[in-house]
Amino acid sequence: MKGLKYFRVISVGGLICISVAVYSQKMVRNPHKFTKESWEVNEPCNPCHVYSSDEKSGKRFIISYENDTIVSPDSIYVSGVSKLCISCHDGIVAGFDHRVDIWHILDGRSRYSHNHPVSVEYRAKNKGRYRLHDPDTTSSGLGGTIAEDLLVNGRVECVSCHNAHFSMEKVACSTCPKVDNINLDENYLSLWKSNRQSLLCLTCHNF
Amino acid sequence: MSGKLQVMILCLMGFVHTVSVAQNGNKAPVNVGLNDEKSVQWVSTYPTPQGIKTKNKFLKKVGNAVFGIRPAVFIKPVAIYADSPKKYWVLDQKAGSVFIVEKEKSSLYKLKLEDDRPLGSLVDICRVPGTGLLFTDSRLGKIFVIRQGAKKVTPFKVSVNLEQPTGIAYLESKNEIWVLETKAHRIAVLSKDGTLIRTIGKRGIGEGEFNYPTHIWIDDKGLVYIVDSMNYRVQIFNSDGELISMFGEAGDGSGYFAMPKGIAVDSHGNIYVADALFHTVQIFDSKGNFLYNFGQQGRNDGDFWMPSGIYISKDDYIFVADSYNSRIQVFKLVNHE
Repeated sequence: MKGLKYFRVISVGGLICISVAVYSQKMVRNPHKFTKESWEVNEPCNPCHVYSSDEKSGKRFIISYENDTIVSPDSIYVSGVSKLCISCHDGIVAGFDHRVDIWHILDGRSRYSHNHPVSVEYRAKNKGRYRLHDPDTTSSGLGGTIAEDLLVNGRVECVSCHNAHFSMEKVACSTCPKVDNINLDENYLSLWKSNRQSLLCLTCHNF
Repeated sequence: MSGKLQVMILCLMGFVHTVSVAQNGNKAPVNVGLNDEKSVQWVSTYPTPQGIKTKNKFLKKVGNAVFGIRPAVFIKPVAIYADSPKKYWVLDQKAGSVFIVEKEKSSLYKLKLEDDRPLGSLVDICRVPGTGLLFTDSRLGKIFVIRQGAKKVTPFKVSVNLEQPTGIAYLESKNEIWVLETKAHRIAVLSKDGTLIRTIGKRGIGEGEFNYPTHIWIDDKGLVYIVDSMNYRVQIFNSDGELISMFGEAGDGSGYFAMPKGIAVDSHGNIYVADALFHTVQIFDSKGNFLYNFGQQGRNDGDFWMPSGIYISKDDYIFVADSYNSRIQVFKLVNHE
């Protein structure tokens, strides 16, 4: 009888350990983490970013050709860092399930607008349909203000909501941002924080 | 009195319309990508910034306004197949449709599936003699065929399930259809009846291996050019599937790749690669040496906003799917020799 009791305890303990291990693996999964791929050659920021070397110092740095300065005046065109995202998420390189259409993220004039606009200037306002908090004084909930943590040069881009770098704390790149205490299980869209009860939306929007 | 006034207004509108069309038609061609021997000249853009030109444009506009009809326009064109500059087929990924552009008739036809279901995520198109035009749908994992004179598209039966089929081309010397399976990181070689003959490549960074291959071109000599997009290179195979050469690497200078997409080869054997992040088309010689490029980020004639597919006709007309400008731009390679 005693042996059966130990067996039960060990079995239950084992099952819990296996469950935790499986859950942990799920937790740390990052769709942009390529470090364990067979073709990866110690360049963890590949293939989203491209390395180059300074001829004089020999130091390696990440090319940032995605940070172009051309900005569409009428917000019809995706620009800046968001171009890097949609150049891959096009239904050709990344499959349809990961496809992002620019016409899904256009401004409200488009009949194809089903999603949040990107490459648009963030303008704080307390009137009208889309009321927004002051980005310079409102906390993002990530340690700084909205302007500091979520906007790119004052504009809303893909990376304002999505954190492509999460759970990459072990990579060689020391500049990659990281967010602790993030519930990745419910965060399949790699959001900066949970959007349960529209928490992420309400960070900026003041309905 | 009021009748005379109406006639005057109509005459004035007709005059303004005539002037605007004439101005557009007389626009000087943009000369881009020059060297001593050859130059690439901008020929046309479709649709024009003024919209799709039709013979009865004004009346059509009034009719559309009255009946609430929205004229067909490109949303996100990604690939082209052309018989001539006056007739070509365009895959529009976002519209989920195939468009036929017939410039003499100034018309744009939209093709759908037989049961009117929308297509998924169109990627590439090629002509297979005796069969029709074949195109890939990466979402549905299928190839579809447009038969001669048909107004609907039908599925092309393939003996295996394709994993995210993207680039497609026809190898005439062997009667084979080469399809890229981007998700499986390989090439599937099919017979004309859709039977899988063999696959080529696997995921990796070595020679003959791929990391998200997306676009393909087969030239008149039977050489196969593959854009190995996430390895930032072009690999060239012979018709037996043996690697001949490869070139390219990631970088931010001329001759490097940032996000290579469509590929095509002109009658001189020079290789054209559209790069979405550079907003340009780079031209290499047959050995992979960079020659020159044309296009820059913008919305004017000759500019691009994240181009993807490219097609070169036998008489060296270059068609570029200027995807995020929602248009097709046509260029011509001019030989000064």
